[in-house]
Amino acid sequence: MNNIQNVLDILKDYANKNILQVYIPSLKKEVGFRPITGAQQKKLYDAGYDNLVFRTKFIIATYEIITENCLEQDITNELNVLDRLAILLAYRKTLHGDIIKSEYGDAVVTESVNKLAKIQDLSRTIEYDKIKIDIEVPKIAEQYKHEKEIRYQQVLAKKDTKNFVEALGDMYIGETCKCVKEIYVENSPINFKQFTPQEQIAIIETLPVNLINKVGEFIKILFNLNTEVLTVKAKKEDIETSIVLDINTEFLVEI
Amino acid sequence: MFKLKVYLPSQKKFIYVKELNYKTYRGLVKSLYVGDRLKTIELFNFILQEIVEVKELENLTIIDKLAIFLTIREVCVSPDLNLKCTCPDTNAEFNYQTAISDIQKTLDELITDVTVKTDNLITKHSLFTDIKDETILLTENNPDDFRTGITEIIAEKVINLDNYKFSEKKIIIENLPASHLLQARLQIAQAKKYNSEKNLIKIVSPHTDKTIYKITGNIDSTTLSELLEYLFVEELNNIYKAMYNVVTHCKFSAEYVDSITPAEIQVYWNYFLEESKKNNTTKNNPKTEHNAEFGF
Repeated sequence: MNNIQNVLDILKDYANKNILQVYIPSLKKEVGFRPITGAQQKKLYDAGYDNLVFRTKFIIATYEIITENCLEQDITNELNVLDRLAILLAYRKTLHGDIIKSEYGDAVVTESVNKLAKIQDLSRTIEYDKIKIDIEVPKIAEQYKHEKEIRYQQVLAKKDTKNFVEALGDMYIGETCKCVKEIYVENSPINFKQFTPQEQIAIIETLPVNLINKVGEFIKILFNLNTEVLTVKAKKEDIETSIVLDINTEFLVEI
Repeated sequence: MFKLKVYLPSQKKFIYVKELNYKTYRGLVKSLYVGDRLKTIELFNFILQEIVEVKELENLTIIDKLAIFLTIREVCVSPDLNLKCTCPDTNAEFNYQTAISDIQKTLDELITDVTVKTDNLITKHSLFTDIKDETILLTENNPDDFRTGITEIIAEKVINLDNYKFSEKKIIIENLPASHLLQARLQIAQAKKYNSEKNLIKIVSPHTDKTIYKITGNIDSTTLSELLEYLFVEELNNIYKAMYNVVTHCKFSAEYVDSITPAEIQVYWNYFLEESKKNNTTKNNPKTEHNAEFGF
């Protein structure tokens, strides 16, 4: 008689013996991850049709893959979006090798991996009047929660009908929420993370514009850092061109 | 009982199969007129159950099925395939003829499986669907599903997956490492490309020199059914005329005629024609004229 569980156990053993070690910038240490499976790869393929601004399905798919495959389950809530970049770059190297082909020549993934390893802690505190905010690089768990609760059903139903400008407005507020670790009013924490994504947005929308702008400056720093990390040199016939890697479904599974 | 020897390309072995008798042949030709692809698959698989021993039916792939029916067609019906074609550019009709043995030769040149190796993991994949999964895949509208083809995993232990169900194989594939699956897809694509360059049937219009139809070695359930239909399609009138003639003129019982092959009926009919020709010559009486060919 067939024993499917027996086969799955053997494959699980195989996965546990073929661990991918990834340097996690925020933790400053290497963490083991199991290889991406066929089912997870399918999840990435399915994310090919996505919300262009928020990349909802891609964020959800990669979060689920990372948390399923991470050998240290207690750190998954601490991983941030830059750590995710490090993990996805490592997976890309395993699946398709280090070289990336582009119209400007070949580039290497390792160039981005090395830049990520040098990133320092970016957390800081900003304040205005009697309000103080701790800000940090968004955690992937927060990002997942926002996309899953706010947009996922609409994306699945293909009913995400907002125009680009409206979507950018939502993104700005959404990104602000994800960067906020805690808000203190007259030195008392409000326990910001306990609120639902919709409630967090409502709270952020009531903050003074000066504070929002300061968070906006942090988001800009993050955005520039992200671009800097993903900018690699492609070389073709002795001509070097800087290209920016786009970390999406196509990058990971080469559709 | 006389049996035919057939080489199964997927399993790389010979088996013996029963002949196709006239009763089954007549039923087959009649059923092909219905034109339902799923019914056609079921019909040929039903005939397989009649002519192949039960233990040999296990793990039979669609390419093995084709090999069996090619042998059946060659020995029990006729060694040549004749098709009436119409040139799409000129509307002119022409005849296409090929030897069944030529199709068999091409079949034997096809790649039937690939072995994929990555870090301490080996999987074996058949390029051709198992006949028990044929109708499932066709119902899912996916006649070429890569997931059904996995036949073996070697990861410390050797696990043979031949008897696993389609749904179980799907789960196993989902749990294999994606990097291994990518390698498998690559190798399978290369093998399929090689097979697609081999033509089982290629019809070139003599009027324009253009290829108007071909079936390559990269066959799936749909193309296999198409090819089987071409192999066994026949004018129904010929089928009944043959039965009528041998029963009426050769004085055979209908039961006996039903138990022999169409090719044997043709042989008897030729004997009868020779004899009646001799009798007519002797008696100098040319009044009786019969057709030498039934058509198959």
